[in-house]
Amino acid sequence: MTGTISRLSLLVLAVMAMSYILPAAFDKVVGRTAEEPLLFFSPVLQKFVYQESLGGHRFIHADEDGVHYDRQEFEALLPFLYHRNLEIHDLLPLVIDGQSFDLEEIRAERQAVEIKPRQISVNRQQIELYPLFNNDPAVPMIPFPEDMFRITPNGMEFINADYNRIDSELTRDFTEALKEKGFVFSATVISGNPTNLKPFDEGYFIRDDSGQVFHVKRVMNQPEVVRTGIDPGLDILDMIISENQRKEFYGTVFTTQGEIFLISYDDYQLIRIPVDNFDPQSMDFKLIINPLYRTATISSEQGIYGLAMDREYRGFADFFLERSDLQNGPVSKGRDFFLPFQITLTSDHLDQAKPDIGTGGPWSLVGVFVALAMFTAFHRKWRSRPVSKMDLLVVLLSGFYGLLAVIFISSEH
Amino acid sequence: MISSILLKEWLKLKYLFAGVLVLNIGVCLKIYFDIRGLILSEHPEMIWYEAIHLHNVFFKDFMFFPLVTGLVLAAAQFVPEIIRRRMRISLHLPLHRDLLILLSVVTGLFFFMVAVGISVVLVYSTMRSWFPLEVSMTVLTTMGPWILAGILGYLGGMAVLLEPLKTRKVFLTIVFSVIISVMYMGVGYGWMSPAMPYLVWLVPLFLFCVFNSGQRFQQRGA
Repeated sequence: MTGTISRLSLLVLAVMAMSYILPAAFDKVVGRTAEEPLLFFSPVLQKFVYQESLGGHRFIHADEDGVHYDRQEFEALLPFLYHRNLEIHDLLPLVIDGQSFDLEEIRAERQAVEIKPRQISVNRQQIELYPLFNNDPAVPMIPFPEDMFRITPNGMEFINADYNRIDSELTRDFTEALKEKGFVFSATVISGNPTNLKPFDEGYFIRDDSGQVFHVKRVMNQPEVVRTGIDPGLDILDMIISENQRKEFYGTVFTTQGEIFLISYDDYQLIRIPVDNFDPQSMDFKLIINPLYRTATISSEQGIYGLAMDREYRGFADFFLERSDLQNGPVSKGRDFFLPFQITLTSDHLDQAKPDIGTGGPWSLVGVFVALAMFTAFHRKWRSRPVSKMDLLVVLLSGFYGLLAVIFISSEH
Repeated sequence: MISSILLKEWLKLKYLFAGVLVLNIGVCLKIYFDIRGLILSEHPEMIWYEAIHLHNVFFKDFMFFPLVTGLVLAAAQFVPEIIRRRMRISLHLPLHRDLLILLSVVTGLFFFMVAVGISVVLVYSTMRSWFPLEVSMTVLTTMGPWILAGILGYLGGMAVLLEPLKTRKVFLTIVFSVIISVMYMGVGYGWMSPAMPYLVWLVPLFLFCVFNSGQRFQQRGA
């Protein structure tokens, strides 16, 4: 009995090792990963245009009607994005729809936000300690604070890095300031931009236990707390804060239901981005702002959805760019045939391990039956004893992986 | 008889166990002095930032030591048995083969856990001296896969050493190496934590592989 179990264990380990390493090695050698297509709204054409990779540094540039452009023509359709071209060729100021834009105006009104699922708090590993930068107008750069804070059920605790001890004074000041504004400890979401490589600091947006969102800053080493008034009923998944000189919005709010909002500088009013079917835990979100329009794009495994909006974030045009199907070529069929499934531990969406088993298509089934036929034929020709049921089961469940495993780990009789 | 077998395992292990223990403690001291040097020479808050937000693992020097410890202990217990064919004598004792192997495994893993356990306590204490509790606690989740790699390395090493057929030794080495390499994936503190509940199931599978090799050793070599 132990002999059967121990051999089965060995076969299982061999199949696991092969289904982990062989598909990964295949993809590395064949290079099946394609670059992400880029989708923009052209203010010149008033249509969506895109750049799609064909592999090997070859690209196609086209608009939503399928009209193709060369690279120069494509860049000319996106003058706000490629404004350096206009500058170099002395084509500024730019005139679109009778409106004129000089270099300063273009620069001042450009902003891009890109948020990937791995940035969302539930999709990444995070030690819950944050630096709260001190806003001091007399200091030109943002110095790193000597402490980090955590939110506990009792208050906002600051730990001094020099002594690795709690700073009682700061802890008391900030906890009291938060309590005064009605903060209910502990926190459910803590969002900030914990780097000093930014133009200025906007502190943290913290959602308390009752759902209220507070804006917490440190100004001249004193707490500055604002109860934002953001709807506490909003099921906030995460807030991604990013300071920008335009000072139109503090950051982006994602809800569990897939809604997207911007937190505006105008009394923390939420600006809704009118997109549907968005899943922040598996889709990329991009917002491109230029002096005339705002374009939101949502990337999923199926394709990229683009929504063009006016300056008030009202959508007026949209387009869905389906991804080129790389999975149906002969190479992919061959992969599915020989490698029926794959064990993976990484995910494009997560910043931590995610064990998963990915299965192939119909060609995998064909591969399994061919492996089974080869195994039976091999046995008939070379072995006098009957086919082992355990070996047969292993090949049936794992195709060529199992075939290789039972060949190398032949049974003893 | 069991106490005699355990004594025999101790006699085989004692010098190399002392060696790996010194090695493990040595790397822990290096980690301590490296971190102390960084904290004293740079701004501690920047070191904290590197650890917490840039996920710089300050004790990554320890990464491969559990694996080395496991392999050394497996070699200490089984190389003499294989080379001098002493295992053949043990297999004639009135004790089931699998129980005999299990006793060796338990003894080896006990000494492995002593050496690695001391290291974990030392690294945790080092981190706790200079970092907040949240960072120190990640020592356990970050080192977990490395310790698992050591246990699998120990069991895999035993299975390979006991396997009598050379081609199969090579195949086993490749399979075990691929699986053990998984434990070193990812960057940062506790990256592998979501996978650990699945990965621990590799331990019984590896243990059964040792039994399989033991059976083949007895049938072919003993």
